[in-house]
Amino acid sequence: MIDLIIFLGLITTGYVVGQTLERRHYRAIEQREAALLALPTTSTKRSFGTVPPGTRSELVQGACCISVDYFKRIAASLRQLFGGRVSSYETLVDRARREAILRLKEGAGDAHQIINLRLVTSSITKGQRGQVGAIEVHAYATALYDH
Amino acid sequence: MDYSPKLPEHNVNVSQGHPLAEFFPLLVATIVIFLVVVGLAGLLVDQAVTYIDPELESELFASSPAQYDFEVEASSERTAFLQGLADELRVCMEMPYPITLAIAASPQINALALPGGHVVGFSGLIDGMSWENGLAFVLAHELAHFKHRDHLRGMGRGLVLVAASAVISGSSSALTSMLTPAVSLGAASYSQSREAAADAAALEALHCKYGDVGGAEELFRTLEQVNDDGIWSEAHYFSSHPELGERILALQQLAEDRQFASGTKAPEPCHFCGN
Repeated sequence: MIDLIIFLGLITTGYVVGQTLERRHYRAIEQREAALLALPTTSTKRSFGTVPPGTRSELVQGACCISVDYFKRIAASLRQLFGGRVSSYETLVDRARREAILRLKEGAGDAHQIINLRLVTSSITKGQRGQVGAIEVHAYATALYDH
Repeated sequence: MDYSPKLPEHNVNVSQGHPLAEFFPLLVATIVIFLVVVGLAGLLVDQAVTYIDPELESELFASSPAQYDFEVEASSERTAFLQGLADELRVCMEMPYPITLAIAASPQINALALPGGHVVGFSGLIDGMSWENGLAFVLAHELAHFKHRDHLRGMGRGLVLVAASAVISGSSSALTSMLTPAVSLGAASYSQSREAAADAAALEALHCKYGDVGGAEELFRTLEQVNDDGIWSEAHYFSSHPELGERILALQQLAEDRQFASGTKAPEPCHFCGN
């Protein structure tokens, strides 16, 4: 009985805290994306327009690691029984991708554009028993500076 | 190429439904499947136990002797007396295979039938009795569970529950560890109909041994008394069993139907009991 109470407590805490943090994170992501919108970013190797002589290029990167909460983990394990979209993990990966790109942009300083953007995703815990899953997204790109 | 930055209007990478709207149907479906599997497997167990005769059972459990969670009293005149009583009842109940009797040193008012031909009486129960007939009824009741293979049913269902939970949630999950005691207790709970059948068989055994069924309901009366005194909030031995009063009435009715003598002889005093 005590195990059931602990389980329900964990799942409720996971849901309430996890959802609150997720909403807060999404608000922050949207604000920062809007603020950094003016910085051209592309996955192509070519830059926008002609690059003036003396342009400096630098490797920039941003990484973000986000963990599942208990509720998402249980919801995903139920989903594993039946198959289908694991929607509880979709927000997780989405947040990690966008956060990594934002950190890359924020770390790029006064770059006037970012080209050749690449994303790498890795799972931190590989679903080992008793461990809470977490994913890392690493974004790297070439930033172009005026001088 | 002009650069005209714009944020997307919708996030297409994330499902828009509410997380709980996805979670609850999955949870309910899992629980329903779990219950159906356990129910069906339980029915299979009911069928299977009728094919496990006592010889096969003692072979199955010979390699793994009964694991008690309690201390067993050392052999004494008292254990010898109970063993003798059980053996006599066994003859009456047409059970031609050995039953080992043990006394658990525990204040619980309880008795158990365990796989492999073991019957355990708790010292709390034995000490609470005054008459041999009352004690014989309790022993016969446990022997009847054994004869009816109820103890295997109880354990079989418990095993099915744990196995199903281990398959769904993993062997070390909280759910599985929560259900595991259902197996180690073995005879934790039987259905009311199994209890009523065991009561009836025990009454017949009492009639066979003493020629009188007086004193059969001593335990129920003791438990009633204990309940009234408020010492025990629940009667451990019969918490899953039909209400005590109903059981006493059912016993009286059965004795009347079968024309068993009741109270024509004074019950035998129990020299090894507490009272």
